Amino acid sequence: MIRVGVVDDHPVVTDGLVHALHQTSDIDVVWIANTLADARHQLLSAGHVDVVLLDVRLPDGSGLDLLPGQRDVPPAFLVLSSWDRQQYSAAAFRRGASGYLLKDAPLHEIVAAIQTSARGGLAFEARQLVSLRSARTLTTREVEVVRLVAKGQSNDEIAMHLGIARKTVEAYLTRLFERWGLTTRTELALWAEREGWLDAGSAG
Amino acid sequence: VTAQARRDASIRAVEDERRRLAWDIHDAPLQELSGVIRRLDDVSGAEDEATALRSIAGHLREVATTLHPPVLQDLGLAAALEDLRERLAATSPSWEVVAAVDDRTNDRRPPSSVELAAYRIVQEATANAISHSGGHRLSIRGSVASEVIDLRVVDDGHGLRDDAARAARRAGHFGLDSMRERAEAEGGSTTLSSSRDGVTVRFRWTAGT
Repeated sequence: MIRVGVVDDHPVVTDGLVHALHQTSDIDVVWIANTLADARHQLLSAGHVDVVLLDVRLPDGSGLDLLPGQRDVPPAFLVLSSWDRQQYSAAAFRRGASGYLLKDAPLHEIVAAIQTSARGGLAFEARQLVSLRSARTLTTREVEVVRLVAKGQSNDEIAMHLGIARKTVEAYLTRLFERWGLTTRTELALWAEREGWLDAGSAG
Repeated sequence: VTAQARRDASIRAVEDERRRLAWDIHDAPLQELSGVIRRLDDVSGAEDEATALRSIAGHLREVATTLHPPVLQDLGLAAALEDLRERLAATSPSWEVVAAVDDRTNDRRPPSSVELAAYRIVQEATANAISHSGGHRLSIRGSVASEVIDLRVVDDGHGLRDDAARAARRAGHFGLDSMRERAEAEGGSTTLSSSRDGVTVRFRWTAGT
Protein backbone atom coordinates (compact mmCIF):
# COMPACT_ATOMS: atom_id res chain seq x y z
CA MET A 1 0.00 0.00 0.00
CA ILE A 2 1.35 3.42 -0.96
CA ARG A 3 0.65 6.05 1.73
CA VAL A 4 -0.06 9.48 0.27
CA GLY A 5 -0.42 13.02 1.69
CA VAL A 6 -2.19 15.71 -0.35
CA VAL A 7 -1.36 19.44 -0.16
CA ASP A 8 -3.92 21.62 -1.97
CA ASP A 9 -6.22 24.42 -0.82
CA HIS A 10 -9.07 23.73 -3.27
CA PRO A 11 -11.65 21.26 -1.91
CA VAL A 12 -12.99 20.71 -5.43
CA VAL A 13 -9.55 19.34 -6.34
CA THR A 14 -8.78 17.36 -3.20
CA ASP A 15 -12.28 15.80 -3.01
CA GLY A 16 -12.09 14.60 -6.60
CA LEU A 17 -8.54 13.35 -6.23
CA VAL A 18 -9.14 11.49 -2.98
CA HIS A 19 -12.29 9.93 -4.35
CA ALA A 20 -10.52 8.83 -7.55
CA LEU A 21 -7.44 7.50 -5.77
CA HIS A 22 -9.66 5.63 -3.34
CA GLN A 23 -10.82 3.48 -6.27
CA THR A 24 -7.29 2.29 -6.95
CA SER A 25 -6.27 -0.67 -4.87
CA ASP A 26 -2.74 0.21 -3.83
CA ILE A 27 -3.02 3.90 -2.84
CA ASP A 28 -4.17 5.20 0.52
CA VAL A 29 -4.59 8.95 1.12
CA VAL A 30 -3.73 9.39 4.80
CA TRP A 31 -3.86 13.16 5.17
CA ILE A 32 -4.85 16.37 3.39
CA ALA A 33 -3.30 19.76 4.15
CA ASN A 34 -4.73 23.07 2.89
CA THR A 35 -1.78 25.31 3.72
CA LEU A 36 1.99 25.19 3.76
CA ALA A 37 1.98 25.40 7.57
CA ASP A 38 -0.52 22.55 7.82
CA ALA A 39 1.58 20.45 5.43
CA ARG A 40 4.72 21.00 7.53
CA HIS A 41 2.76 19.99 10.62
CA GLN A 42 1.40 16.83 8.97
CA LEU A 43 4.84 15.85 7.69
CA LEU A 44 6.24 16.07 11.20
CA SER A 45 3.40 14.53 13.15
CA ALA A 46 1.11 12.39 10.99
CA GLY A 47 3.34 9.38 10.52
CA HIS A 48 5.10 8.08 7.48
CA VAL A 49 3.91 8.77 3.95
CA ASP A 50 5.57 7.54 0.76
CA VAL A 51 4.43 10.29 -1.60
CA VAL A 52 3.22 13.87 -1.10
CA LEU A 53 1.05 15.40 -3.86
CA LEU A 54 1.91 19.09 -3.81
CA ASP A 55 0.15 22.13 -5.28
CA VAL A 56 2.30 25.16 -6.15
CA ARG A 57 0.10 28.07 -5.05
CA LEU A 58 -0.99 27.86 -1.45
CA PRO A 59 -2.59 30.56 0.71
CA ASP A 60 0.52 31.03 2.84
CA GLY A 61 3.23 30.65 0.21
CA SER A 62 4.69 28.52 -2.55
CA GLY A 63 4.42 24.73 -2.35
CA LEU A 64 7.84 24.60 -4.01
CA ASP A 65 9.27 25.83 -0.69
CA LEU A 66 8.33 22.46 0.79
CA LEU A 67 10.63 20.61 -1.62
CA PRO A 68 13.60 19.02 0.12
CA GLY A 69 16.35 19.88 -2.40
CA GLN A 70 17.29 16.20 -2.61
CA ARG A 71 15.63 13.00 -3.67
CA ASP A 72 17.30 10.30 -1.58
CA VAL A 73 15.07 10.49 1.52
CA PRO A 74 11.33 9.65 1.48
CA PRO A 75 8.70 10.94 1.10
CA ALA A 76 8.79 11.72 -2.61
CA PHE A 77 7.17 15.02 -3.59
CA LEU A 78 5.07 14.89 -6.75
CA VAL A 79 4.01 18.38 -7.86
CA LEU A 80 0.43 18.64 -9.18
CA SER A 81 0.00 22.10 -10.66
CA SER A 82 -2.43 24.21 -12.67
CA TRP A 83 0.34 25.58 -14.89
CA ASP A 84 1.89 23.76 -17.81
CA ARG A 85 4.93 25.99 -18.29
CA GLN A 86 8.25 24.20 -18.52
CA GLN A 87 9.91 26.58 -16.04
CA TYR A 88 7.77 25.11 -13.26
CA SER A 89 8.79 21.52 -13.92
CA ALA A 90 12.42 22.61 -14.27
CA ALA A 91 12.23 24.40 -10.90
CA ALA A 92 10.46 21.41 -9.33
CA PHE A 93 13.15 19.08 -10.67
CA ARG A 94 16.00 21.28 -9.41
CA ARG A 95 14.44 21.46 -5.96
CA GLY A 96 14.10 17.71 -5.59
CA ALA A 97 10.55 16.87 -6.71
CA SER A 98 9.97 13.35 -8.00
CA GLY A 99 7.70 14.57 -10.77
CA TYR A 100 5.49 17.29 -12.20
CA LEU A 101 1.98 16.85 -13.59
CA LEU A 102 -1.00 19.00 -14.43
CA LYS A 103 -3.92 18.66 -12.04
CA ASP A 104 -6.20 17.73 -14.91
CA ALA A 105 -3.93 14.93 -16.16
CA PRO A 106 -5.77 11.63 -16.72
CA LEU A 107 -6.07 9.56 -13.55
CA HIS A 108 -4.01 6.71 -14.97
CA GLU A 109 -1.10 9.14 -15.44
CA ILE A 110 -1.41 10.43 -11.90
CA VAL A 111 -1.58 6.89 -10.50
CA ALA A 112 1.43 5.84 -12.58
CA ALA A 113 3.35 8.91 -11.36
CA ILE A 114 2.51 8.12 -7.72
CA GLN A 115 3.67 4.52 -8.17
CA THR A 116 6.86 5.63 -9.90
CA SER A 117 7.53 8.22 -7.18
CA ALA A 118 6.94 5.66 -4.42
CA ARG A 119 9.56 3.41 -6.03
CA GLY A 120 12.05 6.29 -6.00
CA GLY A 121 11.68 6.99 -9.73
CA LEU A 122 11.08 10.20 -11.66
CA ALA A 123 7.74 11.17 -13.19
CA PHE A 124 8.32 14.17 -15.44
CA GLU A 125 6.80 14.50 -18.90
CA ALA A 126 8.79 13.19 -21.81
CA ARG A 127 9.41 16.60 -23.36
CA GLN A 128 10.87 17.73 -20.05
CA LEU A 129 13.22 14.81 -19.67
CA VAL A 130 13.67 13.22 -23.05
CA SER A 131 15.56 10.29 -21.60
CA LEU A 132 12.45 9.24 -19.71
CA ARG A 133 10.48 8.36 -22.79
CA SER A 134 9.72 4.94 -21.35
CA ALA A 135 6.70 4.09 -19.21
CA ARG A 136 4.20 5.30 -21.78
CA THR A 137 0.62 4.24 -21.91
CA LEU A 138 -2.13 5.27 -24.28
CA THR A 139 -5.85 5.08 -23.78
CA THR A 140 -7.95 3.12 -26.25
CA ARG A 141 -9.25 6.37 -27.73
CA GLU A 142 -5.74 7.76 -28.16
CA VAL A 143 -4.73 4.57 -29.97
CA GLU A 144 -7.76 4.92 -32.28
CA VAL A 145 -6.81 8.50 -33.13
CA VAL A 146 -3.16 7.59 -33.73
CA ARG A 147 -4.10 4.67 -36.00
CA LEU A 148 -6.30 6.90 -38.15
CA VAL A 149 -3.51 9.49 -38.37
CA ALA A 150 -1.16 6.73 -39.48
CA LYS A 151 -3.66 5.80 -42.22
CA GLY A 152 -3.32 9.35 -43.52
CA GLN A 153 -6.76 10.58 -42.46
CA SER A 154 -7.37 14.29 -41.89
CA ASN A 155 -8.72 15.63 -38.61
CA ASP A 156 -12.16 16.02 -40.21
CA GLU A 157 -12.12 12.42 -41.39
CA ILE A 158 -10.99 11.18 -37.99
CA ALA A 159 -13.71 13.22 -36.31
CA MET A 160 -16.33 11.76 -38.65
CA HIS A 161 -14.97 8.25 -38.22
CA LEU A 162 -15.05 8.39 -34.41
CA GLY A 163 -18.18 10.53 -34.16
CA ILE A 164 -16.49 13.32 -32.19
CA ALA A 165 -15.80 17.02 -32.82
CA ARG A 166 -12.81 18.06 -34.90
CA LYS A 167 -11.63 20.26 -32.01
CA THR A 168 -11.57 17.17 -29.82
CA VAL A 169 -9.40 15.36 -32.36
CA GLU A 170 -7.08 18.39 -32.38
CA ALA A 171 -6.96 18.34 -28.58
CA TYR A 172 -5.96 14.65 -28.58
CA LEU A 173 -3.22 15.31 -31.12
CA THR A 174 -1.91 18.40 -29.34
CA ARG A 175 -1.63 16.39 -26.19
CA LEU A 176 0.11 13.47 -27.90
CA PHE A 177 2.55 15.81 -29.67
CA GLU A 178 3.35 17.56 -26.41
CA ARG A 179 3.65 14.39 -24.42
CA TRP A 180 6.09 12.76 -26.82
CA GLY A 181 7.84 15.90 -28.04
CA LEU A 182 6.72 15.36 -31.65
CA THR A 183 5.95 18.07 -34.19
CA THR A 184 4.37 16.42 -37.25
CA ARG A 185 1.77 13.77 -38.07
CA THR A 186 4.41 11.79 -39.92
CA GLU A 187 6.60 11.71 -36.82
CA LEU A 188 3.60 10.58 -34.80
CA ALA A 189 2.85 7.78 -37.28
CA LEU A 190 6.48 6.61 -37.31
CA TRP A 191 6.69 6.81 -33.54
CA ALA A 192 3.45 4.85 -33.21
CA GLU A 193 4.72 2.16 -35.53
CA ARG A 194 7.98 1.82 -33.64
CA GLU A 195 6.09 1.59 -30.36
CA GLY A 196 3.77 -1.09 -31.68
CA TRP A 197 0.65 1.04 -31.20
CA LEU A 198 -0.56 0.19 -34.70
CA ASP A 199 -0.72 -3.55 -34.06
CA ALA A 200 -4.24 -4.89 -33.80
CA GLY A 201 -5.39 -5.46 -30.26
CA SER A 202 -2.77 -3.29 -28.56
CA ALA A 203 -4.54 -0.58 -26.65
CA GLY A 204 -1.68 0.87 -24.68
CA VAL B 1 -0.43 65.52 -8.28
CA THR B 2 1.96 65.58 -11.22
CA ALA B 3 1.21 64.07 -14.62
CA GLN B 4 3.93 61.47 -14.01
CA ALA B 5 2.42 60.42 -10.68
CA ARG B 6 -1.00 60.06 -12.30
CA ARG B 7 0.51 57.98 -15.10
CA ASP B 8 2.33 55.72 -12.63
CA ALA B 9 -0.84 55.26 -10.61
CA SER B 10 -2.81 54.32 -13.68
CA ILE B 11 -0.19 51.77 -14.81
CA ARG B 12 -0.28 50.19 -11.36
CA ALA B 13 -4.08 50.12 -11.33
CA VAL B 14 -4.12 48.32 -14.69
CA GLU B 15 -1.49 45.80 -13.60
CA ASP B 16 -3.25 45.17 -10.28
CA GLU B 17 -6.46 44.49 -12.15
CA ARG B 18 -4.73 42.13 -14.58
CA ARG B 19 -3.09 40.26 -11.72
CA ARG B 20 -6.40 39.95 -9.90
CA LEU B 21 -8.17 38.62 -13.01
CA ALA B 22 -5.39 36.10 -13.65
CA TRP B 23 -5.62 34.96 -10.05
CA ASP B 24 -9.40 34.61 -10.25
CA ILE B 25 -9.10 32.45 -13.37
CA HIS B 26 -6.56 30.27 -11.62
CA ASP B 27 -8.41 30.09 -8.35
CA ALA B 28 -11.94 29.28 -9.50
CA PRO B 29 -12.59 28.02 -13.06
CA LEU B 30 -9.26 26.22 -13.51
CA GLN B 31 -9.58 24.40 -10.18
CA GLU B 32 -13.24 23.56 -10.79
CA LEU B 33 -12.41 22.20 -14.23
CA SER B 34 -9.74 19.97 -12.65
CA GLY B 35 -12.39 18.68 -10.25
CA VAL B 36 -14.91 17.96 -13.02
CA ILE B 37 -12.28 16.26 -15.18
CA ARG B 38 -11.29 14.12 -12.20
CA ARG B 39 -14.90 13.01 -11.70
CA LEU B 40 -15.14 12.11 -15.39
CA ASP B 41 -12.31 9.62 -14.84
CA ASP B 42 -14.94 7.44 -13.19
CA VAL B 43 -17.35 7.61 -16.09
CA SER B 44 -16.75 5.14 -18.86
CA GLY B 45 -17.12 6.59 -22.33
CA ALA B 46 -16.52 10.15 -21.12
CA GLU B 47 -12.97 10.44 -22.40
CA ASP B 48 -13.95 12.75 -25.26
CA GLU B 49 -15.65 15.12 -22.85
CA ALA B 50 -12.62 15.07 -20.53
CA THR B 51 -10.34 15.83 -23.46
CA ALA B 52 -12.56 18.73 -24.55
CA LEU B 53 -12.54 20.13 -21.00
CA ARG B 54 -8.76 19.83 -20.85
CA SER B 55 -8.60 21.89 -23.99
CA ILE B 56 -10.80 24.57 -22.36
CA ALA B 57 -8.51 24.54 -19.32
CA GLY B 58 -5.60 25.09 -21.68
CA HIS B 59 -7.29 28.16 -23.16
CA LEU B 60 -7.97 29.55 -19.70
CA ARG B 61 -4.33 29.05 -18.77
CA GLU B 62 -3.32 30.98 -21.89
CA VAL B 63 -5.65 33.87 -21.01
CA ALA B 64 -4.43 34.00 -17.40
CA THR B 65 -0.80 33.86 -18.54
CA THR B 66 -1.33 36.69 -21.01
CA LEU B 67 -2.91 38.83 -18.30
CA HIS B 68 -0.16 38.20 -15.79
CA PRO B 69 2.58 35.58 -16.23
CA PRO B 70 2.33 33.08 -13.36
CA VAL B 71 6.00 32.15 -13.72
CA LEU B 72 6.96 35.73 -12.80
CA GLN B 73 5.04 35.62 -9.56
CA ASP B 74 5.99 32.06 -8.57
CA LEU B 75 9.57 31.75 -9.83
CA GLY B 76 10.89 35.28 -10.41
CA LEU B 77 12.15 37.43 -13.27
CA ALA B 78 14.93 35.25 -14.71
CA ALA B 79 12.62 32.22 -15.00
CA ALA B 80 9.87 34.44 -16.44
CA LEU B 81 12.21 35.71 -19.17
CA GLU B 82 13.19 32.14 -20.05
CA ASP B 83 9.45 31.39 -20.18
CA LEU B 84 8.97 34.42 -22.46
CA ARG B 85 11.66 33.00 -24.74
CA GLU B 86 9.78 29.70 -24.93
CA ARG B 87 6.55 31.51 -25.77
CA LEU B 88 8.24 33.61 -28.48
CA ALA B 89 9.92 30.53 -29.96
CA ALA B 90 6.49 28.89 -30.19
CA THR B 91 4.63 31.89 -31.61
CA SER B 92 7.40 33.17 -33.93
CA PRO B 93 9.08 30.02 -35.26
CA SER B 94 11.04 31.90 -37.93
CA TRP B 95 12.96 33.71 -35.17
CA GLU B 96 15.92 32.37 -33.28
CA VAL B 97 15.45 33.58 -29.73
CA VAL B 98 18.10 33.22 -27.04
CA ALA B 99 17.70 33.96 -23.34
CA ALA B 100 20.73 34.01 -21.06
CA VAL B 101 19.79 35.79 -17.86
CA ASP B 102 21.93 35.19 -14.81
CA ASP B 103 19.72 34.68 -11.76
CA ARG B 104 21.59 36.03 -8.71
CA THR B 105 18.57 36.48 -6.48
CA ASN B 106 19.01 33.48 -4.17
CA ASP B 107 16.31 33.95 -1.53
CA ARG B 108 15.78 37.69 -1.99
CA ARG B 109 14.05 38.99 -5.08
CA PRO B 110 13.66 42.58 -6.32
CA PRO B 111 10.30 44.22 -5.43
CA SER B 112 7.49 42.62 -7.45
CA SER B 113 6.57 45.95 -9.11
CA VAL B 114 10.15 46.23 -10.42
CA GLU B 115 10.17 42.63 -11.64
CA LEU B 116 6.92 43.27 -13.46
CA ALA B 117 8.15 46.54 -15.04
CA ALA B 118 11.33 44.80 -16.23
CA TYR B 119 9.29 41.91 -17.64
CA ARG B 120 6.88 44.24 -19.48
CA ILE B 121 9.76 46.28 -20.95
CA VAL B 122 11.52 43.15 -22.24
CA GLN B 123 8.18 41.83 -23.54
CA GLU B 124 7.57 45.11 -25.40
CA ALA B 125 11.13 45.25 -26.77
CA THR B 126 10.97 41.67 -28.07
CA ALA B 127 7.54 42.24 -29.64
CA ASN B 128 8.87 45.38 -31.36
CA ALA B 129 11.92 43.54 -32.66
CA ILE B 130 9.81 40.74 -34.09
CA SER B 131 7.29 43.10 -35.71
CA HIS B 132 9.54 45.87 -37.00
CA SER B 133 13.27 45.07 -37.06
CA GLY B 134 13.39 42.86 -40.14
CA GLY B 135 15.93 40.59 -38.43
CA HIS B 136 15.73 36.94 -37.45
CA ARG B 137 17.78 36.65 -34.27
CA LEU B 138 16.94 38.05 -30.88
CA SER B 139 18.63 37.75 -27.53
CA ILE B 140 17.61 38.55 -23.96
CA ARG B 141 20.70 38.83 -21.78
CA GLY B 142 21.80 40.24 -18.47
CA SER B 143 21.45 39.58 -14.79
CA VAL B 144 18.91 39.88 -11.99
CA ALA B 145 19.86 40.41 -8.35
CA SER B 146 17.76 41.65 -5.45
CA GLU B 147 19.18 45.20 -5.69
CA VAL B 148 20.47 45.45 -9.26
CA ILE B 149 18.89 44.50 -12.59
CA ASP B 150 20.59 44.94 -15.95
CA LEU B 151 18.91 43.49 -19.04
CA ARG B 152 19.48 43.91 -22.78
CA VAL B 153 17.27 42.92 -25.67
CA VAL B 154 19.29 42.82 -28.90
CA ASP B 155 18.06 42.12 -32.43
CA ASP B 156 19.99 41.74 -35.69
CA GLY B 157 17.62 43.80 -37.84
CA HIS B 158 18.25 46.90 -39.90
CA GLY B 159 18.22 49.31 -36.94
CA LEU B 160 16.27 52.52 -36.54
CA ARG B 161 17.10 55.55 -38.59
CA ASP B 162 16.40 58.75 -36.67
CA ASP B 163 13.68 59.87 -39.04
CA ALA B 164 12.12 56.39 -38.96
CA ALA B 165 12.21 56.36 -35.17
CA ARG B 166 10.57 59.79 -35.01
CA ALA B 167 7.88 58.79 -37.47
CA ALA B 168 7.26 55.54 -35.62
CA ARG B 169 7.01 57.35 -32.30
CA ARG B 170 4.53 59.81 -33.77
CA ALA B 171 2.50 56.86 -35.01
CA GLY B 172 2.61 55.33 -31.54
CA HIS B 173 4.80 52.41 -32.62
CA PHE B 174 7.77 50.96 -30.75
CA GLY B 175 6.38 51.96 -27.40
CA LEU B 176 9.67 53.66 -26.55
CA ASP B 177 8.00 56.28 -24.44
CA SER B 178 5.96 53.72 -22.55
CA MET B 179 9.07 51.62 -21.86
CA ARG B 180 10.86 54.71 -20.51
CA GLU B 181 7.91 55.71 -18.37
CA ARG B 182 7.59 52.20 -17.06
CA ALA B 183 11.24 52.15 -16.00
CA GLU B 184 11.19 55.63 -14.50
CA ALA B 185 8.13 54.83 -12.41
CA GLU B 186 10.27 52.23 -10.61
CA GLY B 187 13.38 54.39 -10.40
CA GLY B 188 15.07 52.61 -13.30
CA SER B 189 15.90 53.56 -16.87
CA THR B 190 15.35 52.27 -20.39
CA THR B 191 17.77 53.27 -23.12
CA LEU B 192 17.72 52.44 -26.78
CA SER B 193 20.68 52.35 -29.11
CA SER B 194 20.58 51.55 -32.77
CA SER B 195 23.06 50.84 -35.51
CA ARG B 196 22.90 49.22 -38.92
CA ASP B 197 23.46 45.92 -37.10
CA GLY B 198 20.28 46.17 -35.07
CA VAL B 199 18.66 47.68 -32.02
CA THR B 200 19.56 47.25 -28.36
CA VAL B 201 17.08 48.08 -25.62
CA ARG B 202 18.61 48.17 -22.16
CA PHE B 203 16.81 48.26 -18.83
CA ARG B 204 18.73 49.12 -15.67
CA TRP B 205 17.58 49.43 -12.12
CA THR B 206 19.40 49.83 -8.80
CA ALA B 207 17.62 49.75 -5.46
CA GLY B 208 17.28 53.03 -3.60
CA THR B 209 18.11 55.37 -6.47
